[in-house]
Amino acid sequence: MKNNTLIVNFKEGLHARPATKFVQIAKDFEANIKVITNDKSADAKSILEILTLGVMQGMEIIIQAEGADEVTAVKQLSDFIQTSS
Amino acid sequence: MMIRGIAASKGIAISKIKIYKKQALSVSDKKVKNTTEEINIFEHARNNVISETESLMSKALDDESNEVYEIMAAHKEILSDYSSFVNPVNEYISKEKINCAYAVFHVLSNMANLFLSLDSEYMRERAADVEDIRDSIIANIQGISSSFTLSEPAIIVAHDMTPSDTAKLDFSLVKGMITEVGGQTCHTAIMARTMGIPAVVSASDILSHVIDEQSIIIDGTEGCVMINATSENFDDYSERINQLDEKQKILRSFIGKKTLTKDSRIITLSANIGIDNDRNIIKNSDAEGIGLVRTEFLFMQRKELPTMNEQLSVYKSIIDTANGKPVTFRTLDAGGDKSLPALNLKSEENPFLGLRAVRISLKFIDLFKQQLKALFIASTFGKLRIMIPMISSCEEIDECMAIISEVRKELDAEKKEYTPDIPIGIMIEVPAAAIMADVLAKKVDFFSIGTNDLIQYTVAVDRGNADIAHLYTPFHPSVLNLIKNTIDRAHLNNIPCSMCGEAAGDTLMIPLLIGLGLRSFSVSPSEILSIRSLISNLSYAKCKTLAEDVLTCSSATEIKSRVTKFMEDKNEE
Repeated sequence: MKNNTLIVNFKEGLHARPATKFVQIAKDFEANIKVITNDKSADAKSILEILTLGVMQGMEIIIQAEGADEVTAVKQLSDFIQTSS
Repeated sequence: MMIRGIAASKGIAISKIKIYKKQALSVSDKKVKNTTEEINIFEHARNNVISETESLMSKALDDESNEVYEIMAAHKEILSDYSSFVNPVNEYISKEKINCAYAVFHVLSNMANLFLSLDSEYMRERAADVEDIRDSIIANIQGISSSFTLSEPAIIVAHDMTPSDTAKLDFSLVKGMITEVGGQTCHTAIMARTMGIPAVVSASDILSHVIDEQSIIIDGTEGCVMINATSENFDDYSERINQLDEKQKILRSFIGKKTLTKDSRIITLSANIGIDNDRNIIKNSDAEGIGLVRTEFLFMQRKELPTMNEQLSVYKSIIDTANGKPVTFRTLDAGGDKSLPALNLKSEENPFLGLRAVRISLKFIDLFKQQLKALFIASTFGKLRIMIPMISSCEEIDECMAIISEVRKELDAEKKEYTPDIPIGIMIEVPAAAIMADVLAKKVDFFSIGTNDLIQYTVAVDRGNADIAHLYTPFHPSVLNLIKNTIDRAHLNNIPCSMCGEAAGDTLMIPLLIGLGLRSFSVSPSEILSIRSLISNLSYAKCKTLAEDVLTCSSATEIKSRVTKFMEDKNEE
């Protein structure tokens, strides 16, 4: 299992536009991927779950992946969160 | 009669209205025997709605409306969300042996309610997306075709408009949009802004006051709607629309042009920005660079400080936004009225005379170094300048420069690349710095005058205090003298001097500043074109005479009235 903790910097949090892209990236991987916040956890391949996390700017999230391609999955999703705010 | 709402998208229009009503949807639960068939019907309807959504996505691309495209792309993603949508609907059909329309209603209504319970207004507005998808699928299952079309130009009035119906509109016919509900981030507001159409949202109860085809006036700038307007109102607004159109036409003619005075003196006009901006800021504002990035927004309103990597990614994205044009980053300018919870600073008796801006950086040296490192590494992605706020003495510059050279050494040791000759400049916003500008100019690569603080420190006025706010003015002779000294000393020492305070965008200050020799202004992005247009009407030679003239005046009132007269005379020429 691979984990990474990071802070979301999108202006409206993980809102419709970045969430759509995020889920599209996640779907390219075999691994089971979760996004975990303080009190909730969501399937990274489900846009509705991601949106209902209600991630706002400045919030900390953990990206957790388990499966053959877990390392690249966590890396690519983290890069997306960090570089495209 | 005037109805007030929220000003959601600027502009004025007069037109007939067309009332938008969403077809009432009725879904009842019916027990079914053949659940496989229900699942197939659902699948068929879902695929139909996906194709409709795809065609709206390509329409949005044709309209060059990114926001609409992105909203529709999100819809498509929701329609393909197996774990929270498709599977739950199928399971509900099989388990309850129920008709698929009701299953869709059940699953997505629950989902919409979940959105409505979230903290952020933005996320709550997303409930409308889920309900929209729900209703489109149900309408498709029931064979109802809802079509709202415009055949002639009209202002649309609605209780609320679904995102997909908004996306379907022929925007060339939409003169304005008014809804009874919604906020700044609802679809109607977002789409109206991208398409440049006036919009008022939250215009409560407007539908009970209007009928189809009635002519009304919408003022999206003020956030009001005038119904049953008199012919005088119509004449008045028509006149205003013509003036605005005329002004817009003139402003558009300045897009892509250099900023030049009448006598061809070249001026640079840049934009002041925060850390999260419109990605097309340069294109949309036509700024010649970014003259001020307020990096403090990255540090405020959070419990932990940003890491070096987080800063780097934000700085890089801002540099990318600038498309190769120069970007001036101001290092952390917090304290005073901008609190920094992450540093847990003591509250002060006199915060504006206390631990703020560069003083924080020099007290928390690791924090300063981390920011400098992120900026240095970001320098490889474009043209970057670093600006240090609130310098009041030589020692502070020396300390900063020593820290900067340590940062360089550390980066060399880490074998990190950076641009070696990044210009390092300072803000002149403390009278002490303005007075000894000649000495400071020998130590740095550029000056930028921050007028907001320079004025408050010079005349000792907190403009937030209504009782004394009238004493706060950029036209005070002492302020002008400090500005003049700063500009003159910068130029004598061959370093550039710009201004990034509010005075740089003040239409009466601009002729004075140009006359005082200022050649670089950094202003709010929305003001770039109007200031370029204003400057094109000024003659440097005349502004210079004006500046020399007002420097002999003894009061702000006198100076302001001379400049006002100068501008009036100029308009009469």
